[in-house]
Amino acid sequence: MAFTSHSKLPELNTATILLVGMQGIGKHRLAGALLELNTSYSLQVRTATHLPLPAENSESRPRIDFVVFLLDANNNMSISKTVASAKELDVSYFLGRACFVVLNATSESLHCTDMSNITGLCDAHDSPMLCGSLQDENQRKCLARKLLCQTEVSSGFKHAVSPMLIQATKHTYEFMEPL
Amino acid sequence: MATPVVRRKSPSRQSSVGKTKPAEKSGSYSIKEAVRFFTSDSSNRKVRGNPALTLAIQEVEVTAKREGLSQKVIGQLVDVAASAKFPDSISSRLIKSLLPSDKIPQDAIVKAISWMCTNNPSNEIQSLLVRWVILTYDLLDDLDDLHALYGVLFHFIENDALCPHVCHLLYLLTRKEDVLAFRVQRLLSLQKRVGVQPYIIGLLSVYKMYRPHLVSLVTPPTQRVFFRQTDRLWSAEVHKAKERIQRRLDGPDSAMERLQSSVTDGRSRAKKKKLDVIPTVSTSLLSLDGSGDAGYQLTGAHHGRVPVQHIKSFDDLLKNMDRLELPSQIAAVLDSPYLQHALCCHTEQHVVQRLSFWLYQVLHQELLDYSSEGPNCRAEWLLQMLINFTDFLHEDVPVCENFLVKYLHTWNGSDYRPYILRLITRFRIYPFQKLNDLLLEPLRSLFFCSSVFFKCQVIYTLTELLRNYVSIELPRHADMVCFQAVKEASAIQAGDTVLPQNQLSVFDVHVDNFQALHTIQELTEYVDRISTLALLIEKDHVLLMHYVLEFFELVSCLHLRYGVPFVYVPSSGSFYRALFSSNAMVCSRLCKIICNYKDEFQALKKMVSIEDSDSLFTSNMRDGIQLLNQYILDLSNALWRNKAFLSGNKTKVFDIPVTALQTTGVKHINEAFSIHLHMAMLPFANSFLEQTQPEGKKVHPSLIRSSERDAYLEFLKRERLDGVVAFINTFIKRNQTTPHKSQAAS
Repeated sequence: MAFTSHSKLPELNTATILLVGMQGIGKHRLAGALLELNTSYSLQVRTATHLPLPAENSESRPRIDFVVFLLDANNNMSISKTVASAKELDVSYFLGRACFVVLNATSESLHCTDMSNITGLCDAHDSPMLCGSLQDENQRKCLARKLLCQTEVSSGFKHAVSPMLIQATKHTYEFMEPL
Repeated sequence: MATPVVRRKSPSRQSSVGKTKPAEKSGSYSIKEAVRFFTSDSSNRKVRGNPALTLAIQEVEVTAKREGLSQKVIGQLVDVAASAKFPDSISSRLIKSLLPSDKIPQDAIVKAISWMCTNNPSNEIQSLLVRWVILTYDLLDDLDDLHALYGVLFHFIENDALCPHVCHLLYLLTRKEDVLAFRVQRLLSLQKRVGVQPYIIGLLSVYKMYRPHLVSLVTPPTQRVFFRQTDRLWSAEVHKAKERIQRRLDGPDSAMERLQSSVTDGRSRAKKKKLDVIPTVSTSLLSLDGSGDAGYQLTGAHHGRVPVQHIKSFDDLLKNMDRLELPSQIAAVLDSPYLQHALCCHTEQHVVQRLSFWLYQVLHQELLDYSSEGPNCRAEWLLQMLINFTDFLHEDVPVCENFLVKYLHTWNGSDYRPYILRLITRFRIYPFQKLNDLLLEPLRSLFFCSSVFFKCQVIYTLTELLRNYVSIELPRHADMVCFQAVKEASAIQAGDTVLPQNQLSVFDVHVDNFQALHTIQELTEYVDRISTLALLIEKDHVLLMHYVLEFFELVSCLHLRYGVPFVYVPSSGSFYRALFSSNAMVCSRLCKIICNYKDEFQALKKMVSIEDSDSLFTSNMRDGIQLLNQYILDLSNALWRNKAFLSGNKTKVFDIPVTALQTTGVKHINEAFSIHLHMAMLPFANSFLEQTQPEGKKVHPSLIRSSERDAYLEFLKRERLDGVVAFINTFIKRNQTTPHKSQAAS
């Protein structure tokens, strides 16, 4: 049984992030950067190479507040794995409780697929796409802060703001016409 | 008869006294005599133990360094040096001191090349001669004759010692007609023999620029320096000579100097490295007469153009505007304020096209394909230049918009942030849906997951974007649509008549006919929406509040200041958050904004009665008036009339059942938001009471009785809370209980 965002009760002052990405993509480096940030609540980071999560231990697993898909634009495998994993995630997460992090998005010459495929993936799941890099310290920190901002909203630490409220400010796409 | 005496005396002293000697003797031993010594056939040509030679060469060196040599002397000395009359050591010293006092005559160069062809001078002297031409290239009086020798010079590339220098010289000389297939072949076969050399690549890349179809060569993107400068000391001397000549030409005005400095390469090395990305101003075409007069004596059809290097003053620029030959590398205009003027007035689209191609290519290369970590200072410099350029044009470069849209999609929100946001403010006006998809959506997704400071920057950027729209883009859009309609109509009427020139935009962009006002309306609503939510997330951060208020300060005077027939009243979300803020600045500015709206509506009302606008506008206004009246009522009830929670007011926020109010246990709850009890105003009330009441007395804001309210308002005005005072003076009829409702409401 796949986990959903409301199947478990939240713990007091705890937020849990699940990082999903193929092996070697830098999940643990990102997790380290996330944990280094000072938070007023206790932050847990879990990692997985793919979804769905195994059935064993599912009872002891805490509620997942936010899911981050990590993918590398230069790596075809990571893209296809992300596509497969995203299908397994419960739909309630795509109401602002999940996001895609694209690594190496700017070095276009090395991409193994067109960028529009990746943006298409994010749009199909109606989730924000963040671009960044895990290579150097500052970039990692910058990315971690952004993820934390979203996690705070989705785990309810921001008073009177829900992920849906933020999603509601999105003006729907009608076309993707270039200039 | 003084000279022989000196000559005879000098040998004994020469070794001990050294170089200063001839300098002080120069009064008696002149450059003429030195030249006579070199040119006469009877001179002693031994190097060792020949004082006459030592004296002559030193005289030449010192004079050259001090004031430069005249054209005639240079001609004679080139002959001497290149004919190998004297040993190489003397010849090379002579060549190195061929610094002009004014200009270098072309004949001297031609002579030097003819001597090179005789194979009389050694390889070293030949290479020195070529290097001399390269270094003093800017000082030549004309290039046509030298250019006529292009084919001859090209043969020297087979000489391995000369090849790098000859390539450099050809690189400077090449014009479009010089690029021929067989030359490309020769260069490629040479490259096969000696391997990939930067100087050959350099020359080939110029060829490629002129005739891309002849050269199928991939230039490595990292390679930027094709020709290394080896003679530091020599080039420093040449540089000094240039400065000397520059000084003598009576002072051009300062902006021109900047143009010139980029022409004459007068930059410090560190800066130059930084500037690498934008090329220096240079034209392959240089015509005769470098004296800087306007009205050139131009001969021949080929010389119908004036190269930018010859433009010495703004008057010159104006006189020669229509025959100006823009630099070979068009991107150089980004760096030169004068050329930007020239570009604006240039009627041909291809110039702008060239610039666009270059910009897109370089932006891509520096920002998107830049692989190594850390900031790229060249990209920063380029973006800054681009910002200056768009500021100058008052419009965005379309290709830059194009790039920006692409870049924003993969932007991480921190790279080059100030530059990117600044460029966004110059965006053109598009239908809102397009604007949203291309620009606002990427910004929004970053907006909601970034710090409060980023949020402030985005709100500020959108404010500036709106300002750009209402002040520049909106009128231009209307004019463009009009212009296009006229153009199409005239094209249909008379097919081949000359179409009117586009005066509105530097760039030839087709504009869709859409309701630009709708874009502005939706943009305003959009900013209102996201800023309300941002205030909620950031718990009314004061800095963010400041930027949101700044936005509404702009919106509240769109009609009166910018003549835009449009009004948008802030949504209740932002309004009430500002009203109940704990900061007096926020309250005061909110009051001022409401006052602005009143004037705005009154002006609009007058306008509507004169001319009938579309139904959307009138309904928009009706809703606006309703909302505004409610705000005014709430504000005056809360701030002044102590009636906040009294039933029967039918307001949004204060409509709370009495029983619920009683459970709060607050006494005099209707007064809780008055100007002396409002959370933001309390400190002011306290300091007012401390000033007015006797010392030591226990004070409470309720001590400010209605009779003292005028004094209190005066006090608030002194504390720079003008907004509150302006609001009360505008909307409250003093000494009466009924509020003076907005005139617009009627």
